[in-house]
Amino acid sequence: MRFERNSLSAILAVACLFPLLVSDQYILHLAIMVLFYAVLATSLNLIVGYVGEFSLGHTAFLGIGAYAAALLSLHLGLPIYLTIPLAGLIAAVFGYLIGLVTLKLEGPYFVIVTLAFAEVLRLIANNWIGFTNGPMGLAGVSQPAILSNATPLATKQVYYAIGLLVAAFALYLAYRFVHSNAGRAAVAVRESRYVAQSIGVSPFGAAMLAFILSAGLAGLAGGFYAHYISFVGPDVFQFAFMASMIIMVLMGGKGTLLGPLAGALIVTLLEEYLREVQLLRLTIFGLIVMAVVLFLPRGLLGSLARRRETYSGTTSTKPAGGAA
Amino acid sequence: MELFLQFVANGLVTGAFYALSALGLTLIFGLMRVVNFAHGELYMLGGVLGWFMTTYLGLNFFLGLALVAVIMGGFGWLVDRLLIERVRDQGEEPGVLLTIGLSIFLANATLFVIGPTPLKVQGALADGPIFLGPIILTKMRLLAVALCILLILAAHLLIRRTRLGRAMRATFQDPMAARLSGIRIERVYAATFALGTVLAASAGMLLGSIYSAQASIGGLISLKAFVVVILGGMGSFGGAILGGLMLGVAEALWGGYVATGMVDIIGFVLVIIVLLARPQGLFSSRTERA
Amino acid sequence: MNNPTGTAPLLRAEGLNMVFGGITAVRDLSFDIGGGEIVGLIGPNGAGKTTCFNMLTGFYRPTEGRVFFQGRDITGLKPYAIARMGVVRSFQKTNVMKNLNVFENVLTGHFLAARQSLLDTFLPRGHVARTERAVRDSAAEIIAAIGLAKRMDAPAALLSCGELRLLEVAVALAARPRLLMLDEPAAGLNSHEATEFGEVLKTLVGPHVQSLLLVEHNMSLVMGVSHRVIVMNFGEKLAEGLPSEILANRDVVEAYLGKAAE
Repeated sequence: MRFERNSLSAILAVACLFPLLVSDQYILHLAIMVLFYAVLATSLNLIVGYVGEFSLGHTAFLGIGAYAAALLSLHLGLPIYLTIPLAGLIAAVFGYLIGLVTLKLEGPYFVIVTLAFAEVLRLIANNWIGFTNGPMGLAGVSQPAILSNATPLATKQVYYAIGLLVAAFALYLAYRFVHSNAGRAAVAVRESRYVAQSIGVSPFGAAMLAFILSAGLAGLAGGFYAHYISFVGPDVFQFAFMASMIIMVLMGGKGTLLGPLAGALIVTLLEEYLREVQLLRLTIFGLIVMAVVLFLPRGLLGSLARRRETYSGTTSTKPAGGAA
Repeated sequence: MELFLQFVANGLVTGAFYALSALGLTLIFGLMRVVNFAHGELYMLGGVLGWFMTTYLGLNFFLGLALVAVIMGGFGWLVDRLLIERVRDQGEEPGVLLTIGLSIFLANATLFVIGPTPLKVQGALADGPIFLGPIILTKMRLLAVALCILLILAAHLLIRRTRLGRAMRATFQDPMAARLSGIRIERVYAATFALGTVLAASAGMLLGSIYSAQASIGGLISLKAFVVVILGGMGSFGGAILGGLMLGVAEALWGGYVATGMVDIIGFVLVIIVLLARPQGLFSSRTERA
Repeated sequence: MNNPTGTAPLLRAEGLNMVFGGITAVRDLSFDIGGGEIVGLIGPNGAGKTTCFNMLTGFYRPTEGRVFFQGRDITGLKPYAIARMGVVRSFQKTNVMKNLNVFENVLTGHFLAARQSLLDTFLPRGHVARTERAVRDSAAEIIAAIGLAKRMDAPAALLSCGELRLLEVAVALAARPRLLMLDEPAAGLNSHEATEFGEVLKTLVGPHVQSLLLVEHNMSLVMGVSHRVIVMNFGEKLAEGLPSEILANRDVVEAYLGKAAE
């Protein structure tokens, strides 16, 4: 746990210093996307690692958050520091509702139903013209007031700061959850439903908590996205986002906190590198997913980032050696 | 009333194809416990190859269908031997992820090669309506449905009456026992996957001759196939047929009476409702022992 | 009803029946377990012992009959609800959390002891840290008591069969059961380990748990440890009594060994 905490603090420190050292807009944009994907990957990882199932419909919560923030901003004129948290909350509520259905299922059924939900939402977004403006999407999502006359560079820097705030908050929540009794309960359910039940854990309750948290974090990311890109359309539910998230979680290593961060960094850079060959980008993604599954099942950080709890206590038992 | 019958007839036609397509998926799951997310892409490849054979090369429809079956069967065999074989003993999740990766790869590679425009598979018969009482169907549709039923029957006979089919069923029930009695289970797995692929690809070509073949159709087809399989029960042959027909008719009725825009939604809503009530699907039974 | 403490029974099973399809796995089973007792449940394979366990702990809903714990009807409650009331069980096919190490397993087992509100999960106040420390100390103590102290950091997947059984018991203990139910805990232990294990079990009743229900095939372990023994055969209760009485019971011997040729 200490390694993880120290690493996270170090990463946070670097991230804070980053904009002071960099004044290239393009690099700042990449960094912002890394922050965005870091939150998304962390949220998907909660489902994979702490519910123990693979969701293919996670774009549902990303999209709900994005649309929520856009609609709140456009119709109610709410400022960004309200829309993003509200987007997270609304997505969390949907997480509860969708979880009521999906968490009763396992394995392939879970995968399909989550995918079905994402598809349903996409179809609704595409067809409910009155509410979501259909394929034309919602444009002109508001910018923070201080940016009204700002240079493009300053805009990026402000968004970087906001993104960093969101990411730090998201990681804080994830960290707290993972290291809590509730987090351990979710792991128990993932490992063995029978053991979990026999120690008093309600499998549904434990999974639901992880699921709601995961949905809320994805919603935060979506809300941020809506303001940064300033446009939200049904494409936000498209599978390409899901593919990216899958690769991030796989490459970084499932079930760790650092893994998704590494995955987000790698995949964002990869996507940029492949932008030249946009048409082949997804093709290569498919190959990468297969390669990771076949050759790197624990992900790049899988074994590294996995730290075990040890006991270094003061009872008469022999204290465990080695750093935590 | 006549309109209703027409909708039902249309629904049954579409449903027959859903059934054929889902059959491949349910066989692969039922016999191999592999959830094949690349199923829709196999269907798509059947359609694209069908276009290649008939429209591009100008071959006869039936010859083209046979060639597509052989080629896709071989492709399925290879996919199983080279990819799925490696993760077979690691549980369900690696198979899911692997086939997801495969699906992304196949869909986009095909898109890259042939572009996004829909392609027409040249049918065997000239377009022309047939009147069955108040119902209107095209000749090509009827032919396609007939071929569809033939293929389903052939698959059924293969599984029930041949040595290979027996080997498949034995391997499904107990791989270790099957191996110990001399069955080459690696080959059985590959053959099963090939069979599923052939069924999917045939469905793709048949439907491609009625509508069109498109590189990006895979995702939706996969979803619909899964809907059918969930409705009918994973691994259930009869369930896939019933489920396919049900979905086809439901979509036709919804599209005809309510709205044509969101027809696809009906399947997903159905699945969500069904799984809410019966998490194991409509026709399957599951028991858990502590 | 044999009750050393003379008070109401801790657990009462009344007329339990379990029918699967056409098969009656358990028929009209009734018994009590009092406070401070170690009760052994024995019987040939297929006698219905695990089915009985499953019914008592909510994993199966009895087709007929009731289960009472501390006077409350717990028939058909969800397993985790029954666990929260103080009935914790282990499983016949070892169920531990294979991807965690021994310490993490037992720590996780302390779920009920360390329960927090949602707020405390995300914004922990001082008492959370104290609870966490207490729970970690408790985990270490239990691991030591059960004899796994040397293996505290070992991943569960690497433990030997005997060690896995011990770990299962340790995880169950972490859940602070009033009634601890163990399903063949000594399977895979050699006779020396089994004897030691029996000693450990005896020390548990009183300080750690109120009562113990034990399914076992190891006769010397069961007879040496139990205050009372219940014998099942073909889903029914065949006999009940002191270990010495059971050993001398002809029906029991026949159930296990069959009838001698005439």
